[in-house]
Amino acid sequence: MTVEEIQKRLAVFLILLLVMTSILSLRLVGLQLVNGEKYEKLSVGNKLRVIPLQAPRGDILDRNLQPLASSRPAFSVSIMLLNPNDALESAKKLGAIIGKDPGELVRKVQEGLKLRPFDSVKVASDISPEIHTQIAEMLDELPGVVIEAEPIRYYPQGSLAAHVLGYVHEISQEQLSKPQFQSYKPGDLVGQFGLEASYESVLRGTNGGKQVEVDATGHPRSILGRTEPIPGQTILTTIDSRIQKVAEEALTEQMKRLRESPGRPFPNAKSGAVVVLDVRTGAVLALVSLPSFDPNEFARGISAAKFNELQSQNAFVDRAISLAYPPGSTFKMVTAVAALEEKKVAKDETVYDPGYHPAVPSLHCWGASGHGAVNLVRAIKESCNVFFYEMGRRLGLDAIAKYAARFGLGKQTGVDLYGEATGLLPTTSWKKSVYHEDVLMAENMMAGMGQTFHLYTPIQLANYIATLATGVRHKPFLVQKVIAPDGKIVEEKVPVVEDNLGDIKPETLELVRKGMLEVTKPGGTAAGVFAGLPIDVAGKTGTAENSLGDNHAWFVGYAPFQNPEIAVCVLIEQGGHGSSAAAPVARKIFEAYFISGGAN
Amino acid sequence: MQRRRRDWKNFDITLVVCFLLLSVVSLLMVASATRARSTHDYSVVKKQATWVATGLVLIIGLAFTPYEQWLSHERWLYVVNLGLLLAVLIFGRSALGAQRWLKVGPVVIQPSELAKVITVLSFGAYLSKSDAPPRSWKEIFGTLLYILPSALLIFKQPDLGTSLVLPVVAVGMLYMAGAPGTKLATMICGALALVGGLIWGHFRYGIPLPFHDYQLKRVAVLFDPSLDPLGAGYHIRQSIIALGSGKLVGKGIFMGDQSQLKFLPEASTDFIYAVIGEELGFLGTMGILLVYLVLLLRMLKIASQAKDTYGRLITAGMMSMLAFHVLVNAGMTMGIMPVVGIPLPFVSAGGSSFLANSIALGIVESVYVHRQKIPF
Repeated sequence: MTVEEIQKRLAVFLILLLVMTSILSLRLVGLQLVNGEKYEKLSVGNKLRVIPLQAPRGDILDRNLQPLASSRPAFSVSIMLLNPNDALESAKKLGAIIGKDPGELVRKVQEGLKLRPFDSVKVASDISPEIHTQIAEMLDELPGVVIEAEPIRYYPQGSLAAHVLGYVHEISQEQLSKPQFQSYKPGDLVGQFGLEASYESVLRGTNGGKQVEVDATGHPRSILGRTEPIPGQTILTTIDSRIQKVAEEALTEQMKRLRESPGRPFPNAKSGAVVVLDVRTGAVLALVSLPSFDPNEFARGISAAKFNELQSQNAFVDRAISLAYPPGSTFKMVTAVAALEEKKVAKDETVYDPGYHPAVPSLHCWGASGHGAVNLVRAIKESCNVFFYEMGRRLGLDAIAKYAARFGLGKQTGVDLYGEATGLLPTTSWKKSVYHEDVLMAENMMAGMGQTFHLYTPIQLANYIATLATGVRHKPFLVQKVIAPDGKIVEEKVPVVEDNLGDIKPETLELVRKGMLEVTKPGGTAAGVFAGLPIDVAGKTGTAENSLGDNHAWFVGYAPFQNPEIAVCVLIEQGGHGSSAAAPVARKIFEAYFISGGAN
Repeated sequence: MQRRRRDWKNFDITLVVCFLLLSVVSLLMVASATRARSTHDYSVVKKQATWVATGLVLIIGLAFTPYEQWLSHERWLYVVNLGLLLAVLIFGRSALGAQRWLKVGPVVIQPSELAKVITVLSFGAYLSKSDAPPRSWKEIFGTLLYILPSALLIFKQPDLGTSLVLPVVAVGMLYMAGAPGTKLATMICGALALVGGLIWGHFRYGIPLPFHDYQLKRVAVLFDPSLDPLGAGYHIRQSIIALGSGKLVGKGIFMGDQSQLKFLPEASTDFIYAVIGEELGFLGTMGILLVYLVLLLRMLKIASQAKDTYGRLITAGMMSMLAFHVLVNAGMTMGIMPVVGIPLPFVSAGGSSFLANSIALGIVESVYVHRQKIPF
């Protein structure tokens, strides 16, 4: 090669070197000078994460400050979604440790990566100390995994008052799309039922957050900022856990006894309800619905099998407020008040009962031989059907409905829970609009003693009895105070008077009450059950016909007869007779309230 | 003494200054990338300092060793090279899925790094011994067969990046030797087109290729990052974020979030240029690039001054080798070159590569020291 050729080739090398340097320089200008701001933002986005700090939910207390729902410290496991490979790998490994299906965890992580790639995904709540230790020791092999302290909802009394308290659960997709849950994020807990739901905004508190700098393995390195969560407010309920407990146990035992009764068993007596109201204010002392559930299971994460089992028993239906039943003879006092007020019957007037109503002989009385000549008080005492058929005939649906409405029947009581049913208070216009025909005479007659069309919830019946006892209809309520975390009272409920029966003659009410008192006295339908009780109970049994099975058993009543304090309503679905099935449960509640616990 | 003084006068100080500048940057950035300040673990930095000192001794030692002796040892060099590479294949230590390391006593060496330098020396000798440069296609391919065994052995480890260095260096030396430039250029373009076509065909139509999928993906993600968003794509993305977020002046040494928080993989080795970019900014990356340019231009100058063909060929070979390293390594951190695991010369942490490059520099220095003296 000539010297010139060599020089030429060296020049080519020179050009190649300059081209190479230019390409790299241009790329550097593009990355660092032109788009530097963009990459700086990405770099910051890489390293900052906000770990939510869950606000403890407010406590739910009973009237004696006993906690019904509280929060306890627990630990949850989350996976930070920094490096997708690491997150998926960790999800697989975690499955074996926490005993969950790894595939399910992987799916959760994948979903999180799609929706919130800069966030974390919670994979387990309330882990045991053993699992906590195991994960903490393996943390180096579990990139992105963080253990967070987190308050867990806790119901110290288990299933007690489950339907009053409700439960909390992760917010659903459907809820998230609703405007009232605007401030919620996926994975947030929300009250789904009971007071947890109706007082959600009060109980929830405000979540805080911890802004942390994380390294590529997702392990927090330093805390840059912290916003403390604000705990939710405490609600002081009107529930008396002792009475609630007595009522739940009495109802459970009674249903068991009925199912196993050697003479005439009632195998379907599996569900029931109890409502106990303070007649002076409308405060709910106890509200029972059976079968029940343990809300703690939701806090821990209920299994699908357990949930389905409870669901199949309709355990999540609050029978005390959400289902309406035919009231049977418990309705007779409404007819009595209507008949007296409308002057369709005189105070001492007697109706002759030969065992059936002469106008419609197919309408029988429950005693085949009849009660003979009965007046209003005795008709209530012995629950004479014929007397009330006659009153129904004289009054008609609309006159009965007018008074039933005064006692709050056929409309929501307004108790502070979601899902209250309205029930059904039949009128002639209702009959016409639904059946396109006039009311039959027999229907008027049957309506007088609580059969046909009428459907009411146990809480409506309890409130009707409370109204009858005092002459004032209150709005039933469950929460009396809302208390801030610092102990300050945020809100105090005053009893709300819905209606005052001042226009109804006192003698009318007194006569009906006298009939109710007679029910628990010798010769009355519940005499045996209440024998020996040192306080006077005014009550009424009810045996509502049920075309789908055994009769529903009712008992409604209040005590003491003088200066009434509480009203009780007991329902046992397919429990048979009100006197033998429902009344004993009521007696136990009265005993608990007036004798063993000391009245308050 | 008389002779020694004259040697020192002939010593090219630019090469050593560039070497020292890069070494200082290396020590600082390796310290930063291994988070030595927060972990108080300076072991990697200390090791790197040992390599710098050893490298300097090697450069000076080789500078005063006449390079012509390598010409006569061509056969031995070739045999030793293949022997070492075979030893890796048989006794080598594996790490990260590749078998690249050989443990000799307390020292772990990476023969493929050394192989690059030895190949330059032996291939240069092979070329300069022939009377005329290869001119026909047949001659050119025949010559290339010389490097095929070592390239295949390195490829087998697998070390795709290093095995690519050998043909590139060989082509550079062939050109310097006088092989027709058009044919060499055609060959390079043809190879690139073939590789590109095969990879495209592999992912599109499943054409089987003797490569690991991860190797192919590293190339393919350059054109379609969605092919491997979590693997190779993740590395490139993090590296680009690191570089870009450094902007003009950088975040400061030890202050780069990408590297300090370990988002950037292989921060002290393959991706150290991204750490420089993040912590020293555009000024840092351009500065380093200019040091390389000065170093490479200086080597070009030395090639022009070499007293014989062998000196010119090996200088051009060493220069091609270093230039290819800089281009591929820096380019890969910027997302314009595939991630093939080629270190940044004199900067990436690691002894074998550092010492091999030092040897290259020492030999080029020797070409300068023993150049044709132009009388004043």
